[in-house]
Amino acid sequence: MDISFNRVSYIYQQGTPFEHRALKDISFSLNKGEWLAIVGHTGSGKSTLLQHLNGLRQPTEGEVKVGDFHLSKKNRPKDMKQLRKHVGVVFQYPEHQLFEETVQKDLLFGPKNFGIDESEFETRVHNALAAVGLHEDVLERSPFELSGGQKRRVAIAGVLVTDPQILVLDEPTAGLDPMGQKEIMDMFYHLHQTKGRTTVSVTHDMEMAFTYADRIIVLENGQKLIEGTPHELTQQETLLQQAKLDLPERISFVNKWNQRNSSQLDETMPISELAQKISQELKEIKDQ
Amino acid sequence: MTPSFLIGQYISTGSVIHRLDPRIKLVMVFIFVFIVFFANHLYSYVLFSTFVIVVALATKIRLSYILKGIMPVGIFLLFTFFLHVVMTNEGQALLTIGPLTIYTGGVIRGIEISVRLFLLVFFTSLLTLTTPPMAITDGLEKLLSPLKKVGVPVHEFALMVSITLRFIPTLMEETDKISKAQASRGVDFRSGSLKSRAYAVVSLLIPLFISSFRRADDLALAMEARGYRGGEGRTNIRALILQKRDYVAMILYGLMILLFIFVQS
Amino acid sequence: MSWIEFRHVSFRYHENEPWVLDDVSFVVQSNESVALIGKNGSGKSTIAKLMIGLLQPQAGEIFIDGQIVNEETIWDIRSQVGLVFQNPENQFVGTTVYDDVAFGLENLAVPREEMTHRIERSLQQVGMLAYRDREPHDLSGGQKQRIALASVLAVEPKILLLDEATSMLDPHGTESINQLFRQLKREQNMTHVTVTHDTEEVMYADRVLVIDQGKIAEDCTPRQLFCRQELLDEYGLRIPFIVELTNELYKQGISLDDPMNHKELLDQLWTFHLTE
Repeated sequence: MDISFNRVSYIYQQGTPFEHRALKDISFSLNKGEWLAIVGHTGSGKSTLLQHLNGLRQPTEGEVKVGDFHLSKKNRPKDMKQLRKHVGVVFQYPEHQLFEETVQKDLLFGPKNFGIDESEFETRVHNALAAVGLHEDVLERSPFELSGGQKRRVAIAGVLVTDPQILVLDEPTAGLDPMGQKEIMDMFYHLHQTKGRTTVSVTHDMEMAFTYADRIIVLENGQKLIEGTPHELTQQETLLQQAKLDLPERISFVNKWNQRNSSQLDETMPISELAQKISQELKEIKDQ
Repeated sequence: MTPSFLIGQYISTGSVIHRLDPRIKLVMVFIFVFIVFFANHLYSYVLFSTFVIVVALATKIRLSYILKGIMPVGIFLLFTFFLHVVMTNEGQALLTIGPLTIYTGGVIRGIEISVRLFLLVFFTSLLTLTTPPMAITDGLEKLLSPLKKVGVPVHEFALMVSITLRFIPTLMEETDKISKAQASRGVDFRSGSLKSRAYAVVSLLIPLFISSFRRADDLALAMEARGYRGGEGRTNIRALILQKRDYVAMILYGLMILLFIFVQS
Repeated sequence: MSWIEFRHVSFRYHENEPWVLDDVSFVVQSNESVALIGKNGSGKSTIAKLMIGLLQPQAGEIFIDGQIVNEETIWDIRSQVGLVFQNPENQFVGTTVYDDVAFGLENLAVPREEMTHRIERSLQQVGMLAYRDREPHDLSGGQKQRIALASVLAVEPKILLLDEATSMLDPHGTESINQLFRQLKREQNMTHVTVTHDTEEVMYADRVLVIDQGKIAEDCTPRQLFCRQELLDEYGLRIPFIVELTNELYKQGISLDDPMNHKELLDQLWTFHLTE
């Protein structure tokens, strides 16, 4: 499914003294199978944008299209459930949404709501568990007696179980240790690669955006500040700073090095190679 | 996230009414609630209405907001009005609809009761509009502090109220988050059979309870880590000291009551 | 005299459950800054809670400045050890910033004049004086953590304990808390203990204790830790970019003096090529 935003604005509590314009005139489009990262500081409007993707909010102005679903101020799709079935959202701290007695029941919560045929339940649960790397032993256990990391995986499986065509990720690794973060993100990347799922990740983590995304949109104060590939963004350090965002360390260092020595090192090379190049360039400078 | 009506919502304008000692304001409201039911003279109503409107203007909050805020109570007022109109059998009969006869006495009583209730709600809403909930709690704690001597846990109660107030926005936000997460998993909170809606509510309430317990646990630990061990031997940063304006307010209020007694007799 | 001492401390939440900490002994010296690192569930946060008497060990003893931590001493200990927790929301007790910072002082029965003075000073220290009348829901996570830090500083503790205080913040909030923490280290005589999995922060500690499965797996300097890739892999730690590059440059025959940031690294590279 393709996604497009056409001049979308969103205003909270319109007509009250608390009125607040959270999104201003946002336009972009996303093709099937792409990974888009929406990056911004807390309060930049990225959560509001995310909630437009599965109809949790409708634009105050402009239009959002997700596949055949059109959302605007006046137009609310009647089959909202169908939209939400196709767009799976993994919220921040997804384990907070667990509530059933057993993992199995919690996983089937979505499929039942969406009216998925019961005959498919077993394979779907099986596939979802496999995707998040959990053993089927957990199915009969209470989600609340699992470890923190396992809970997170169960909650993610609860979204994957409906087999959404678009996956929306809202900081799914918050609070995990570095190893756990990498495991979860690699898992989403694998799903993206093998199943061709369109992925939208909403994050304040530039490192993550640069590692996984094909394209990045930077939001600031509800406006689209920059849109481009990770490589294009490496040249936008000043604009990024305006949005209180830092380039990943490696890139920002290579930028500084290139500036100081007027050289052209590529920021994507492995660190060992980078060290080699630096030592070479140092020698060249000395020889001159 | 702000509730659509304003009862109990604090609006800061920094007016002199805002700056009055919460104890003074609380006592004034208590006395007002009491005396407003003794009013039975037209001039008393005029006096009270004038007083309440003057105070309302002094708050610098737009009158339309205040009225909008007490709208939900309007339905209740209408109901009481009709109840009195229908139930009272005094004075002259005005008109008869089927088995119902409406008397002049009923209409007068209905109006009287409605006006009293309206004044009462209006004045009380001025208290909550101009006083942060925490200041009200403080005021109550101080006013009730003599009860500590007879073993009433006034401090604990005040702390409980203040923590509740502090966590209301947090819990509202949490509710919003969880309901969005469950809606994304296909829950429909708005339509469906009674049974499916009950289930939808369960999917919201259980996570909410669990997170509240976790928060309570964390908070208890944090309070203990910061040396909290009950109200004994604590000092208090919030000092309530009566200012000149508080005395002026008390005198004006006293004069208003004297005038009321004069008008009534 | 040592400030914090763990002597053969073992702890578990319930009988029949595995030990969360298993015979742990270590010493943290006065004014030392120590980072406790390890995976989620390694037992590192339990150590912080034990230090301040929020949990009691089943075996072994804990001493703070020579004073044993037990039921009788915990209130005194808690006035000497300040703890900032992980969740910014759940440790904010007061209805406003000012009330929250006052809370710990009220508990210690500090007279009002003194309180006002200390609250203002500590809010100034964390750069939040302008926010004194704000309510918690007006503040970002990072700002709430600053307030948590101010609340602790107002009590004037001798030990500052951070229990994953930045793990729920965005990069901006994390950086602001880390900077503040480093500044406190420079300006004040305090013993610092950070429980973290943020390896960037580890760089600034004097010493690192790696906790794994309830035991102290390593007790070394940050430099020693970062030189051993196999350790980092084993305990699931990410090596900071600066350190990794410095290590790789060393393999190229460029030996630098532990640069901590880009500027230091660039400057050192520059002087290196001049002196070589």
